[in-house]
Amino acid sequence: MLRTFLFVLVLWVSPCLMEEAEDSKVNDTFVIEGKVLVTGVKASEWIPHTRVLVDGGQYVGFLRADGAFKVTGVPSGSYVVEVANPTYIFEPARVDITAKGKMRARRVNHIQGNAVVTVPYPLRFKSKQHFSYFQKREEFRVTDMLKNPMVLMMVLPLIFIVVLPKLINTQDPEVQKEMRNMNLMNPKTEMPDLSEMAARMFGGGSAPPKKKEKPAKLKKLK
Amino acid sequence: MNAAFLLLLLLGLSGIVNSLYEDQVGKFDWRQQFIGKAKVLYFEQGGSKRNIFVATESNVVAALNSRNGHLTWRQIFQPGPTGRIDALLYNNEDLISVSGGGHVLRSWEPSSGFLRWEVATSTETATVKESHGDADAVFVNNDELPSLAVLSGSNLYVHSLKDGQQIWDQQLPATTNYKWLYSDGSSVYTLGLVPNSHFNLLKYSAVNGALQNKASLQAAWASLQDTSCILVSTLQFVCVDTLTNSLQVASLENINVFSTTPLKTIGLDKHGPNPTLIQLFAPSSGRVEFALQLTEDHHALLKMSAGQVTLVKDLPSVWQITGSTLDGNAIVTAASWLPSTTETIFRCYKDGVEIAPMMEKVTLEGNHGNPSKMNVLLIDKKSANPGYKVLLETADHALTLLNQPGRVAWQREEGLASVAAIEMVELPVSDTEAKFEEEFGGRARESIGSMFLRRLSTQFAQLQVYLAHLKRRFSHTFLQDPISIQETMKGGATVHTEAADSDEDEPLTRDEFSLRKIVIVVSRSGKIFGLDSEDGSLVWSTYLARLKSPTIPGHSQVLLFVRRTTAHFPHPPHCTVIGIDRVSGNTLMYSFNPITGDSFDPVNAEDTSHVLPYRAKQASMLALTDEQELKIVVLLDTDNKVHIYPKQATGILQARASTIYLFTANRSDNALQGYRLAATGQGSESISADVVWNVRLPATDKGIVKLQGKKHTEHVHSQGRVLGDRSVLYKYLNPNLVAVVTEGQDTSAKGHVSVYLIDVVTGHIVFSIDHKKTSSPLFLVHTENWIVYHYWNSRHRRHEMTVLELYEGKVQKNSTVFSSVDPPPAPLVLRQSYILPSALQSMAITRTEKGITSSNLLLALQSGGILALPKRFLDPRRPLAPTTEEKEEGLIPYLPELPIPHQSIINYNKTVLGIEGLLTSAAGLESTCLLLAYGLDYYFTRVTPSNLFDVLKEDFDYTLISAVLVGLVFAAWLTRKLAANKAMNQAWR
Repeated sequence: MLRTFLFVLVLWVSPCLMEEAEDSKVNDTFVIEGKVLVTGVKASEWIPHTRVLVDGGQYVGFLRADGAFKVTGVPSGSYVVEVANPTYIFEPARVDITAKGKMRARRVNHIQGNAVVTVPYPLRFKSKQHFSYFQKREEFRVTDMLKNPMVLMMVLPLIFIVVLPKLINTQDPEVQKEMRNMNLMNPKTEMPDLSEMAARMFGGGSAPPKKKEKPAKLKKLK
Repeated sequence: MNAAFLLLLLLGLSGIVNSLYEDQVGKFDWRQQFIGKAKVLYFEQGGSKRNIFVATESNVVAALNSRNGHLTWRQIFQPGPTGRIDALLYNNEDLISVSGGGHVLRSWEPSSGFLRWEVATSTETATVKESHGDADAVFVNNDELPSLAVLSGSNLYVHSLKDGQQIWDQQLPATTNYKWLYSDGSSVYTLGLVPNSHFNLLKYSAVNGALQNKASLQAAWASLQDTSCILVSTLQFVCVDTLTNSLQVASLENINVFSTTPLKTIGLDKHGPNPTLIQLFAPSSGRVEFALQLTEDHHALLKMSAGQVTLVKDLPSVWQITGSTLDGNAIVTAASWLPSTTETIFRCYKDGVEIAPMMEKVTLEGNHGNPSKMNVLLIDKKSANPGYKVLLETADHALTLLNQPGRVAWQREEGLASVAAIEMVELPVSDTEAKFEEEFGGRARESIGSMFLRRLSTQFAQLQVYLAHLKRRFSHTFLQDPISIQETMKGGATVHTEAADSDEDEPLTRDEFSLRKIVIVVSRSGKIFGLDSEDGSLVWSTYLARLKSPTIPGHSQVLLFVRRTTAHFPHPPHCTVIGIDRVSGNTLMYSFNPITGDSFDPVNAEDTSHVLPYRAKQASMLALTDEQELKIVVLLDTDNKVHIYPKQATGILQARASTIYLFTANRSDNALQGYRLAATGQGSESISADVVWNVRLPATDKGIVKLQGKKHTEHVHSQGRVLGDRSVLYKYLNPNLVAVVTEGQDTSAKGHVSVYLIDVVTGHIVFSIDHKKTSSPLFLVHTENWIVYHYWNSRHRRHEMTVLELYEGKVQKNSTVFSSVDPPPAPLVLRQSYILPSALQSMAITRTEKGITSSNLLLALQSGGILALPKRFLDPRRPLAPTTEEKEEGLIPYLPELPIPHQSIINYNKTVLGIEGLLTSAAGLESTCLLLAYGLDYYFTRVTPSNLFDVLKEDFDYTLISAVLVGLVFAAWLTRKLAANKAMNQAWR
């Protein structure tokens, strides 16, 4: 059992070894092809500043006027192809070339080097974003100051105290009525008024408020 | 949850990385673009005639504007031999580059630099062709099928000019070394030499590659290396025969034997070791003149008439000769130059007769050495003789365009593109400041009155200077428009070496925070430049003709020491260059003032006083100074003798000799050797060096690829690191620690990189680490107690970075001084590795005045950006899951991939390519570090790793703060008034 297992293992390992041996012998080179696209910009504005770097600049490709490129003289292996431009960001791609010249392109994943998410070959690079090299300078703006929590804490209560009462026209009879209603609805009225309590305690007290209170209570009970 | 936390943390960090505001563009940074030493030069013929096309030894094809010398466009090929440009062909419509040993053909749009087409001539691996030497290429001017022929090794390719398609190729017999290629339009000829036997001629049809003729020419005198042959006019093949000192001529049309013309019979006698024939006109033009270079500065103009060679003119002291045509006028131009004068004289010959009115005399400013390349453009003028422009390359790699009335139109100092050694030096204080210094260092006793008067006068002078400065500043701000980013993008051209007009009369003086420095560049061409760091303009330059350019790429054989800075006032600053003499191979030592460029040694043009009578194998500048504050330089020669400069300082050194150690490293056999100086007696030769240790690292096939010590001027602010639990981890701060990196292949042919940390006083290997399946390019920085290096991991096919940090532990052995002889126990080495998703051009760290500011790693990425990465990202204590203590310490949780935030790319869209190194230097401000990236591109900027914490930000809102102050004062006054009114009213009530 163990022997067969070993045998299988050897069978499985040997092609790998052979492949590696082949790798070192091969002396053919291949061409990586692709196209770089930036939409809505004149060619003369970005093509002269764009270079195609294979394996971190070991092989360099240049763009034609239509954005197509060819990187020649690349032996078989696995390479990261990136497009370097100072303004536009392009996502790099990994290109695998077998000893026989078969090409495959996949997404670059440095952490899991063996993960395969294929992308179409010949490569197509499309700019998704601009580089943003600069920080926004802080400017003095009134809104910024108002958004400050300390200012908010101070200003909002001020608004409540000063501005709100003025907004509600107390002279309007309707509003007055409403307010009275609110007063009736307010459960706080159940609370005995401190001044009244004092008056009651020291000077006979007046009955009417109490009477007033009772119907309210009855209403509630009903 | 955890991921969200990480993201938040990273976002938070991105806020603190140092970055630019858009309005700071071009305020304190500049970029200059170079192309390197020219190999092939062409004037644009058709079109606007505005460009000059250049192919250079730095693998660059570029077009220069002939009016001002600025770059029109530039394309940089891949580095190394695979990108080397073998030939650049130009006719009116096509510009074709042949590179990589004839393997890659590219056709460029001459006006814009766009690629038209690119083809590979073969699919063979392009690694073995270095032995073949340069490939050759010619145009095949066939009317139906314009094409070009490329001779690469033993292959002949013919490609169409229109789209680069291969028309035919031929495998030539490998027994013959084919070197010469010619085409007359209908046929392609190639000639090869079988050494000391015969030439082989093959003639192919240009259209289909059919073999038309095959012949051999007996030539027993011809050996491979030193035979110079050219084709002249109607297929006459001319060779120099050094055995019998004669010229051999044969016709390729009706092939027969060589006819011999001894040089004596045509009146030429002496010649140097390698006489070379120079083609003046293309053979197809039918011109019969050609030239023979007898020695470097002696040419002869010859003529072919009816198969016979005749002498037209003997031209002694002529360094360059070239031919040019205009509408049937064929003119030969010769440039003569004498080392004793800086004058270059151009003489023109037409049909062998000198045209006297066309003679020009030009004096190039500064010393440039002999002319090394020349190209002439004839201009049609109404008068009888045409006008002409000369593009001249001199031995210092400078490229100069001369217009006819002997005027220099522009000059490009291309020597700057190849740096052998570089350093930044502080500027001296201004004269008025210097007067103040005098007051404090007053030697003679003075009366109080005179001192007071002097103080008053100096202060008055200061006030005057300040007023002048204010005036200049105001006029400057009104005149100068802010540079918009679009402009810098489009222009691409550079602030050039033309001196800035406004500041010309202003002497170079230190500014308030010494942000302005002088950059000393020693180029591989042997020129020393002083550049103003403000705008990169040239302050001075000196040409050392005898300084040999280093042969090993990337490893400089030239040392530049700043032996005295400007801080020691009455003494001028002092720099010393130590290199190798071109002629004798001995050591060359040259001292100069870095501010003015004046030599401290007695100078005469062809002197040998800088050349020492021995060859040094190690040179070191000590921290010890002599009485004049000049740092002592110690040279160890190949016989292990010690030489000390200045010589008078021997006495100072004798007392301290036993504490001075030197070491040498042998790059190829991984051996290091340590020496200790010993005083053996009196006199100047009284100090010797004894070998105290030998270290032989395991042999590897690539040997030592990197050796990096610490800068002795660096400051370490804190001796330890406070941990989350309030204990201190003490740093292992060994000033004698050197990082040595070797690279090689293991038994299974996989590369590996080993890093050794060696104490060079005792030879003790403090630490070593081996990375399997890794290889160069390797970049390393070593400072304080840490080492960061960048390498290629061939197993995972990605670039990785490793950080090593050395700690003594929780107790410190000796808090005042570190001793290698009595070292603390083996240090604790913390390490961590990361993935950097980019290849590098170079790596450096920021340096500041006192080392308080946290450091940034500066990485020049292959894409052309310079990334400022806070060291916090490369901290071996970054935890996988941070505890509360670690969070409190501010450690970033470990992530395998290092970020490349766009805002940390400090050179924004001013990409820098072909970078050879990054030079950092501390400014007077603790927060600021000056950075110069050098190589093909120069880029200078300021880096503030922890923002500008020690000065008010430049965007500080003075108007707002003054408005608020005024408002408050007004409000106080108003309320006071109101309160008074109220009080009054109340009093009346």
